[in-house]
Amino acid sequence: MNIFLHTAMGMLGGLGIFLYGMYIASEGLKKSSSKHLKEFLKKVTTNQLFGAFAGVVLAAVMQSSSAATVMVVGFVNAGLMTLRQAMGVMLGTAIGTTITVQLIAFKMTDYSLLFIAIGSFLFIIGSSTKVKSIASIFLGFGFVFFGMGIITDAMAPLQTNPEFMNAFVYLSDHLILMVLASLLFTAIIQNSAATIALAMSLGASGTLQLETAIAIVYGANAGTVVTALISSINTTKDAKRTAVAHAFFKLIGVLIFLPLTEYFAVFMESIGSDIERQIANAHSIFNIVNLLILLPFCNKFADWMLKLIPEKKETIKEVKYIDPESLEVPTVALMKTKKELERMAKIIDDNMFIGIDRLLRNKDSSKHDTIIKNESKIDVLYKSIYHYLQKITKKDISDDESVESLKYLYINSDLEEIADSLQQITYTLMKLDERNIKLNDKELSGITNFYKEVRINYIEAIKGFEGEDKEMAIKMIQQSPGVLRIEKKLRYEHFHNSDSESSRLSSTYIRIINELLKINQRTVSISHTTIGLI
Amino acid sequence: MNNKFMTFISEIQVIEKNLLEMGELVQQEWLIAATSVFSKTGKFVNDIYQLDQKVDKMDSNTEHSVLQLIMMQPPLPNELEALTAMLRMSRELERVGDYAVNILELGDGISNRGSFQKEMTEMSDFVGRMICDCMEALENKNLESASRIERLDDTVDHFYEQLQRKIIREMQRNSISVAELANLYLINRYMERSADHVVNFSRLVKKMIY
Repeated sequence: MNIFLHTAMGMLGGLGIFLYGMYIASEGLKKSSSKHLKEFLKKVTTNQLFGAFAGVVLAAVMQSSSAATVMVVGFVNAGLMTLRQAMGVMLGTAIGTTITVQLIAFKMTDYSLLFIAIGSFLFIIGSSTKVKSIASIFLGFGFVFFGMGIITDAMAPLQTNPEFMNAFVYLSDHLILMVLASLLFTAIIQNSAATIALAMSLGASGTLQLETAIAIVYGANAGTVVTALISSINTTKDAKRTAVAHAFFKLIGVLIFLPLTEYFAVFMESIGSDIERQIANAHSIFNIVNLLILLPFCNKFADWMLKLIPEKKETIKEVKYIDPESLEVPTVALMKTKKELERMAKIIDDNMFIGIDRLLRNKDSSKHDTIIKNESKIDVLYKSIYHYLQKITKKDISDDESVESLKYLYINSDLEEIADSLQQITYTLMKLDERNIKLNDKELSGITNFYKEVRINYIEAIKGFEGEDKEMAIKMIQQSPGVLRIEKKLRYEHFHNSDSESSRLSSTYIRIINELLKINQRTVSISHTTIGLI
Repeated sequence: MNNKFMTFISEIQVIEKNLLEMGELVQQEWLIAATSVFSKTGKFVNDIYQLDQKVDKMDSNTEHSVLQLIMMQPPLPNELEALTAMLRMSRELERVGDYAVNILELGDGISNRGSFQKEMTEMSDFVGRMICDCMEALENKNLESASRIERLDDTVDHFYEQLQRKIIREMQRNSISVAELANLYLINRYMERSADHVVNFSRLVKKMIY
């Protein structure tokens, strides 16, 4: 077989196994730990140094700095972390991802089949999600090491190929070209560890000089930036700022290191035994030094980013929190869904409930439009959240998380129906207005009181949902028979005292009461969901 | 259905399960009380107080859970029947637990009374078996064993009457020991009362088909 074809096949096939392994390992790690990570991050990000440490752990666990970035940005978006805190964490993530490369340099490749054996065994005997995720971690790393072994074998003949060697000699003289090539390659395969792993195999086969390999390391580091930048195009401002800051961090690092490559290489040779170890060390040290240099400027960076990407007065978009990128990390996606639902609930209260109040009190007909406009906004939100949750449930999520997403589907539908009923009430009131029919004072005050009780229940149900406060939810449910009593009383008084002029007025009055009753029923349903009763 | 969510039925079952646990504790209480009457085993005294505290707490928890559940969602008629039956069953168990404590306390002052020991031990064994059957009837919704419990109660009543006559006769003959015999008289009475509570419990089991 043609030597070139053989090499290419080995390299690409090996790379394929390598990347697939990273994917499996990362999925397993995410699933077994994302819930704990959330708690962990909340506690640890009190200052930049802790933040950086959290970043190291985060990226080591996620096995991918872009997944880590998604998580960090998710936190910033959800208000659990400030932009400033995110800076330190971002620097830390860069170090976390070097752990894979270090593992490869420890010649773990020799034990790849052992990892695969343990992983498959656990996968077959494991019944719980937890064991299966741990199996995936083993299996994933097994594949990573196995793929690495294949690549190394495939590369071995290259050192006897004069054309190839000449090309590398040329590139060694033009390190910047090497950096760019590596950057491009990393951007395409979206994985810096794989690029560096390739450099390590080339180095091991003697094809590559250490200096050239270090240039590849620079390129690989810079290349990850591209992924993050591309994925931040359609996100919020803070996500963009974080991604751009990340890019600056890496770029500055490369610019500082590039002129010193020669000395850096000598230093690496003095502390590492073989070339693979030296390359892995170069990767780690590059990121550690980078962190040490840039950490003191983190807060400044956050401020600069605010200037670079200023806050525009955004028109209120239908969907604010949920974004397709977060689907990568279902824990974050669910967190954002909750945020979006809370926002939806607030829109209903601020723009619709209050609007009805005004309508009832002083025929301010401009409120009609506000309520109806907001209802269509809620419709869009409802649909987006619905589809988003469908996508989340298709992901490989833990049992707790599937319960959570189911709960959100319930709440989403309840909120939508509440908005619907509020719109119906508005229409009814509009019709009365058009025909110039007025409810009498007694009836108006009756409805207003009823409305007030319903709204209090709504507010408490939402509070219970936001704070996952079961007691609040129970309290709210216990108030609801009171609302039913008021309804009975209003209905009785209406028919009993009716000296009614028009049957239309009567049916309108009853319709409004019915809609309010329906709202109360949905509100109770929200509280049921909060306490987990279906 | 996913077991991470509660449903009305699943919540009723939770309360029912608590009732079964409560029954187990009362059985333990009963065993301690019955054995303590004639054999001085003071080391169990603390156990029975702890058990009884737990049982009392579980009784008030049952009440709370039942009321709260009814507030959450209106029950169907047969569910409501089951829920109110559980309120009463819990109360019956709690009473039996209290009697057990009383029996243990009264037994403290009694020196060996060989002539009553055999019958009384037999009687308390019957009551113990009734409690046991009762819990089994609830667990398996077994209405037949509920009727067996009534038959056992007849036996207990028989023992009670016999013992009562015997104790009174002994009192007349041996007035020095009246204080001690009065305690024995009460123990006899409490055992019979406990059996009645167990019967009440068992009659409620048929309402537990929801």
